Amino acid sequence: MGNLMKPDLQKTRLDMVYHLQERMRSGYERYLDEQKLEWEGGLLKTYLVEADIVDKTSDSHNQILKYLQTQAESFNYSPEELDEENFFALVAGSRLGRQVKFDIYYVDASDYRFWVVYTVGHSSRTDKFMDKLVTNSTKLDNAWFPMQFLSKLVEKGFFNGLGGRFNNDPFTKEEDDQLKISLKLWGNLAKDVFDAFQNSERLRRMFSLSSVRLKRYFKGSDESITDDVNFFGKVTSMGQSFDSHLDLVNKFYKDEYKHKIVQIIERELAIGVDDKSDVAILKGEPMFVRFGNIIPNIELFIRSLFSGTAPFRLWGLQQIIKSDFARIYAVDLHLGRTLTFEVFPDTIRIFLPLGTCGNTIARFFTLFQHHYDSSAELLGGKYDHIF
Amino acid sequence: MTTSSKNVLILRALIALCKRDIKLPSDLYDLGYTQVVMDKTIRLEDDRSVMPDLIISSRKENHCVVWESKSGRSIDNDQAKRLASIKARAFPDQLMLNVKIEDGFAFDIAYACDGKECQNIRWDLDRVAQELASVGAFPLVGFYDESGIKTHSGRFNKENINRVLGDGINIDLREVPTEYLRFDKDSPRSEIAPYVMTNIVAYATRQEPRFSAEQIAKDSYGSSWDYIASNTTKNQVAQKIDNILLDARQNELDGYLTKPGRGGIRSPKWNLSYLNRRGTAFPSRRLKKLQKQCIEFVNRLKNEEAGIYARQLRFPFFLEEE
Repeated sequence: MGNLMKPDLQKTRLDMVYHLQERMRSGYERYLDEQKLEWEGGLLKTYLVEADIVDKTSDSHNQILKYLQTQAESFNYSPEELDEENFFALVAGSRLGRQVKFDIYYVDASDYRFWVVYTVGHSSRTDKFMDKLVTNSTKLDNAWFPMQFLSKLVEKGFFNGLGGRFNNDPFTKEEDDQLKISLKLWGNLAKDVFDAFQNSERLRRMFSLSSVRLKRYFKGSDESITDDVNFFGKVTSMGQSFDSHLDLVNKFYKDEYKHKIVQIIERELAIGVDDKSDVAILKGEPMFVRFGNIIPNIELFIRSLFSGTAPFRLWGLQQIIKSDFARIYAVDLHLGRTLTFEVFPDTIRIFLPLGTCGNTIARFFTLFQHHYDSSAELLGGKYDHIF
Repeated sequence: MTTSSKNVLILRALIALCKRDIKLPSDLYDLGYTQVVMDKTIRLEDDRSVMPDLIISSRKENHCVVWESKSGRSIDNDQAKRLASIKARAFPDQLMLNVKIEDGFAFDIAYACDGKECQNIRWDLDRVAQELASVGAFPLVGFYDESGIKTHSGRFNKENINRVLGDGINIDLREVPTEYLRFDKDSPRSEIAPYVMTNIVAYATRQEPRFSAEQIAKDSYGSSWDYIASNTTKNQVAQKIDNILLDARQNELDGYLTKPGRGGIRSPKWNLSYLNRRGTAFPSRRLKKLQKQCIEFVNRLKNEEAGIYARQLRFPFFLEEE
């Protein structure tokens, strides 16, 4: 980024909150005045990132800083250590004509596995930056919110908009067989539209929520805050209260999502011998993705799913045991970890080895809903609905 | 199928029935047999010890079953006698199982056998019973490829499991998951190779392309590696994996897998070429080619093993012994 002048950074979390609060307020006023979805330096974007960097808790700050420093050149940002533990800023410059525009990303890694990254940069730049940073790393992943998780989220406020998408491209090359939909809508009839889609046999399986818009009113006031929660862990806030936004993010991300990933998937369901005991007690349970869209040809299906390409990025060695059952020894190319899948016509049985990141399951399940059957359910152990 | 594969399959099936699996019968899980202990040496009262293949336990039934898996046609007499010496207190005290000894607790030592060999195993147990009567009371459960699992002879000390296994559990053994027990030291190479191949691709993805046979053995075997009691067994597994890598390098994975280093199974001498100069991600075309070659490699191993097994069947003197 050369010697260009960098923007001032907020050195503590509290300073960052005041700063972002101010930006939110001015941004919201412009939003009300101009009714433009977004403009330069507008709304607060919060990216929820799952990180697998720290192996020594007491040294988490240094390990995260070192990681951010090693990635800086590849992704063209400058990592800054701020005044508090596990709190950093990434300053990324992009050229806009003859000018260089700097975006600041505040990385709050107070939970060293579940980071929250804040920025007020324009989403045309920030989405690209975050996507590159996460997609090309085996240590970082987005938070992935399946259909059920997003639809339950709207119970925390008023359902005031939704985004949806579906395309079966990864599973079919024939244009005539390709099914696609992509839409975004706002307004207080969002729930009616969603219910209508859910009541349609076809759309229930071929329409996955990609975002929900949630409007919440402050107690004793007619002021409100609106948040768009996206399926890949991005939250855009339209409103004036950072606290309220933070409260929402903490509840559904650091409490609910983290609980599902860490407590349920990694601690209860991952398969392996508990290393805390001197007796080899085999722990864990298989997980199942159950769906109604029956797989007509398992061999073709797994060839598409485990080819190593996007969106699933799963690579595997398949064993076709019989016409209605196959086993795949797979590698999650995003994280570089192995896991085993077993495919039946109506179910995929998954074994996550102990020590492997549970986010792999959330990512697979969410993408499966977006590309094969949006009504699919994830269950395992005592949980009929993990999400 | 080799005897070792069958042995592993029997144990996998028993473990699978103790899990909540919507694709398998849930009879044992429903009876509360959800605690599974593997590779644990039990100290006996006379200072000897015994390591059964598997122990399952139900708090609901207040019952444990110690399983000895047999795919061959004979038993180890000394092992049978040692198993007969296990006392009830070992379950809560040594195995940390959640049972109440004072409240109607019972346990069984049971043999789990290849369905075709049940009668031979029964005769062996009855022979040992002439020296130690309790061995004759061990229940014997047969595992049949076509029809599933059923008690062949003997009774369990708790009626519910007695009924369930007496009636038989209808299970297609081909659908039993491999993940609970991936392989053992005697498993054929074709059953180990998929784990080896996926692990080396995982290492390369994480930009850790240099590895030792021991490291890959540990990662392929799974989290119970540290509980394998003997270093000899660990070395045998690692050596077998080193041989798999050598074979792959000389054949299907020539050009991908290289061996720049020297040394034994602990030396990080193996390397998977990145296939990408930047070393960040595999280009998808090369990945597909690698996938094809790994599958060809595993299939060749399978065909070679099938040939060996068929030759053994033609010459019964060379039948595999356990």
